[in-house]
Amino acid sequence: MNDLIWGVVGLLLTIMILSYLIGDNVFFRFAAHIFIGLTAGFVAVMLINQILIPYFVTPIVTGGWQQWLWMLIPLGLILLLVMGQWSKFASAGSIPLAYLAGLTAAVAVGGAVFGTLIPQARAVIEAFDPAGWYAVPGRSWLRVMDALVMLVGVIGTLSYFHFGKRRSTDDVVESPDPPRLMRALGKIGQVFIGITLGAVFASVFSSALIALIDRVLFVGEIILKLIGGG
Amino acid sequence: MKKLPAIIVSVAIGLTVLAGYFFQAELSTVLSLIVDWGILLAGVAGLIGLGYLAQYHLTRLMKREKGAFFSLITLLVFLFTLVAGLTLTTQNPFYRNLILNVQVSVEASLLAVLAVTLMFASLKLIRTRGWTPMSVGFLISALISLVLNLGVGMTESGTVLGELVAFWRRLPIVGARGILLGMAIGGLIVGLRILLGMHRPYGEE
Repeated sequence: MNDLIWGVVGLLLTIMILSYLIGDNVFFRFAAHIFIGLTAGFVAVMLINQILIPYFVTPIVTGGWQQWLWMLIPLGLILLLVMGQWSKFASAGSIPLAYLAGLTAAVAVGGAVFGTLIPQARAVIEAFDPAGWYAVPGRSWLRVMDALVMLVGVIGTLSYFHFGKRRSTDDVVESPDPPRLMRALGKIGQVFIGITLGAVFASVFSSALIALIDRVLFVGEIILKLIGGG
Repeated sequence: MKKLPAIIVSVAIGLTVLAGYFFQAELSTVLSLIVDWGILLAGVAGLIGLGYLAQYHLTRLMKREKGAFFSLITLLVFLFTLVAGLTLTTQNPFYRNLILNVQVSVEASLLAVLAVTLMFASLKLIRTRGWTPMSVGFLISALISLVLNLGVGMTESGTVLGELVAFWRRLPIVGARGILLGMAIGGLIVGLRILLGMHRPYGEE
């Protein structure tokens, strides 16, 4: 019985959301606002349970006086962050935000260098390893083609995102046209970006289609249960 | 001068975390404290953000603006989920059912709506963007990927056709690699600008 009640709740919400296909309407908005409220409430509960209690309350309750002293720093930062929400003390909020900005920037720099730049650049370079080319006899031409396409594609994609700026003598920033080679490589890059986005589109579309089929099956299943046929 | 303390905090924290990549053993205790406090601050910032959401809907309700009824629904569901989550705990069967049945149903249905929206958007692509190298690459890739996702062209890896299919499947990685490298270079530059105090997202420039 309990499952059936929850099933009906899911059925009603599903129909309300799918009603968007015939246009924006009051049922869709109703379901969307329920979703926003529920997600916000759940996120608040998770933030309190997973962050506020273990990182702030537990050290204060279980720790000694030394821990207490250490917790004065985050307590001060939290107070400044809360104070910063009032326009009168807006500048107070800049210190905790600066703390977060510095931390995020350092993590982003480390992640960009060690997590992306080095591994991705290495993958492009390793495609030119002759040992890999001759690993499968008779297929070396395919490996060479793979490596060349990889190199041209990556350089082309990067060229497409080239937004060069030049500061002229009177301190005006100009955006000159990129060199002809860069433009040509950018065109090749566009094709590769299109291919990547096309493949991503196909995956997302397939997943969305599976979700649509799943929802239709779910609606059918609950209706069958309700009329006693399931 | 007013901005100086914030710049000092940002640069000091950033450089300490950056130094931690090279002196992990020496700085591990300090790093763990800095990261823990950062997580705590981000959590409190998230709660403040949710507070703003509630304030927005409360204001709309008080002023009886258009859509005040939906704001009332949002606030009621928000408060109910918050209070139930804190009193019953998230492991309670009723609470789990509430979250799963509402969230999963709505999210899956939104994804289902996306399927139809995506289909119409892709049909309009050429009309809105024209025949550019990117739109042509996109359409060809989307069509071939959809066909390949259906399992058509599944051949043994030893054959030439199998190798060509495998080559096509690797092709999107090329663009993805370029995009990833571009994002990493962009992130690196913005990160360095913040660490050097040239860019200050935490206050007026």
